Amino acid sequence: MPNATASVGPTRDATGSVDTVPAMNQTLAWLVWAVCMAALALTIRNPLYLALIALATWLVHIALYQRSSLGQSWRGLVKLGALVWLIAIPLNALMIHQGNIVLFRLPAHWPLIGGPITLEAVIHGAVNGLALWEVLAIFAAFNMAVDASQLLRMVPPFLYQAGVVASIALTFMPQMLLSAREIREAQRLRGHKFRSWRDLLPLFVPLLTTALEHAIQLAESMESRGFGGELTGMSAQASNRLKGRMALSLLLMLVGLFARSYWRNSAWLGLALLGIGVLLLVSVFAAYGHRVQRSHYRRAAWQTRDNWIALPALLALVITLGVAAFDRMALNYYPYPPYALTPAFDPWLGLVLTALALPGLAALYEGPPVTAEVTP
Amino acid sequence: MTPQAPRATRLLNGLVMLLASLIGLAAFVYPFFLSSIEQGPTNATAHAQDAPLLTIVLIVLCLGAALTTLGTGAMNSKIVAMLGILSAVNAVLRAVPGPAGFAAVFMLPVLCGYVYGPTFGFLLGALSLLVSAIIGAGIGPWLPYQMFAVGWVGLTSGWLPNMRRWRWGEVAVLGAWGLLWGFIFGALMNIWFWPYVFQAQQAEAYWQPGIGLIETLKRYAAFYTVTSFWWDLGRAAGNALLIWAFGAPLLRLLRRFQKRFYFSTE
Repeated sequence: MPNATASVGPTRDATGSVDTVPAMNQTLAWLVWAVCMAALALTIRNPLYLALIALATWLVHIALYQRSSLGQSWRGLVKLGALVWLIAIPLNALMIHQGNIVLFRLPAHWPLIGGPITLEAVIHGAVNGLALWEVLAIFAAFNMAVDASQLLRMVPPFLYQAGVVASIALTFMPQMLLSAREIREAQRLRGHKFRSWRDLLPLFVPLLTTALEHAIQLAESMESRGFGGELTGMSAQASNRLKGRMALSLLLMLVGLFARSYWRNSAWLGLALLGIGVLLLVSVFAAYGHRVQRSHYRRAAWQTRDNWIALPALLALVITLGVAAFDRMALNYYPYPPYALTPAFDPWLGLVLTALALPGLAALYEGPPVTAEVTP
Repeated sequence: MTPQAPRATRLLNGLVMLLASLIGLAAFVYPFFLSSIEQGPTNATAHAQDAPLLTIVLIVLCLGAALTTLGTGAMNSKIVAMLGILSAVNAVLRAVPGPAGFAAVFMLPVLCGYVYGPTFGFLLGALSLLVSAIIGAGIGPWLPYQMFAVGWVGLTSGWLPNMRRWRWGEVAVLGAWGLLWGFIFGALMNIWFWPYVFQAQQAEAYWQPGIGLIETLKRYAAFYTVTSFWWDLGRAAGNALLIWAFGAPLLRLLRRFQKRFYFSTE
């Protein structure tokens, strides 16, 4: 079987005795961290708890900023998040006209935005914007913590072809930028001037032609190395049986979603159908994945420091969801009357969320990246 | 473009794609199925907590199902190589700056979906968004929604009839198709929150349970016109202009390579 997403192993040096690779935290740990943190940011609306999550995310940013080549891009993403915040506040203030503390009034006959502009609506917009901003910041940190090749190695076996396509695209990208520069220079030598977007056709068409020529060469070399035909080794009948099971699972999920939403009195029925559909679909994914054999040159081992990244976020999510199951309003904040303008705060829940700072503190303590020796 | 599969396989692929797309669509319009007790400021906020998590999980699973189904049996080395290379080109196009909601990422899924078929179009749209998210540090919960939506652009472009004999009319229709998708993409992306909000003073722009489909569309049109029409106009006009300007030579190029990618050895 071909190796769909083979790991890139350490390179042997001239002496052939010692090989060094960067010791990096496992991608899975950061993935668990990001998913749990995002779930918390999407679940919680209390600004005090959200502030604790923001603090934890900020610590991770500080720790990772010096290490990542994506330092500039995450800053751009965070700036985008701040922009979203600046939009969310006026939007909420202009659209929601509830509250007792009126800041000013717009003419009532103005469509949508006419009416009183209240402090409560401004605060609520800020809280909603903060939650959205945090999701952006969390994934900005995640993008900094992992690199593309590590991420692609995590593509599950049943999606190996998507992983191969993404690997090809990422590998080809620098080559394409180089081709673009060469074509641009060649066109300039011929006297072509790039003044507006309409002048880009003599650049884009040769670039796409070159890219497709590369695709043909790549396909030929892939076939000559055995990457051709059906990779899962499944007969058409076996493949169709799996697709039939997949269709059934999706149908169960669709009916379950509809039942859960429409028949609120028997929501358990919808949940049960959804659950059965999801389990059946996961079993189909496993069956596909089982037929794909992948080799790993070097497996990433789960290390103690990975626990410091993943476990606090996982525990905080479990505890927070447990609290929400008993008291839904415990995580909520609603500034409009008859509710209080000041948010409630549970010290125990605050302590749990403070523990989210541990990954950032651990990364700060760890310092810059180190290299680990790998014996041949 | 993709190798012709047996009839049963094609039917099953279509069925899985249809069901996955319906669940994806249901994830977008999920709140419309809620009863009246869910609406109103307090309950809407409470409901908004679990809805995104549920729909993200569902849409990720459906995307996995769609990519697995379309990939199995239809992907030989030529298709994989071509998808990889075109995904890279499209991912770079996404970074091209422009006014308002302009994004050059729609042009290739429209043209490739039209020339190479719905399967190729869907895979190109979805995977190029994934690649551009990886290179641009844009991985997040929004990514599966974007992948699905741009995948649909390529998928539906493959359903258009062959208009090759119309010459310039073909490019004109494809440009108009890009224009239409520019608005549909924006309308889909902001419809998820609209039913949660209700303002009694401006009821003509908000949804309420039991108002019927026509009235719902009227109210959403009023809301959309005031809030996001102008932003989406940049995207839609950009799609149309790019396809009208570059469409004819690109279609010729894609068709020329279609012949080269079609050959097979017994």
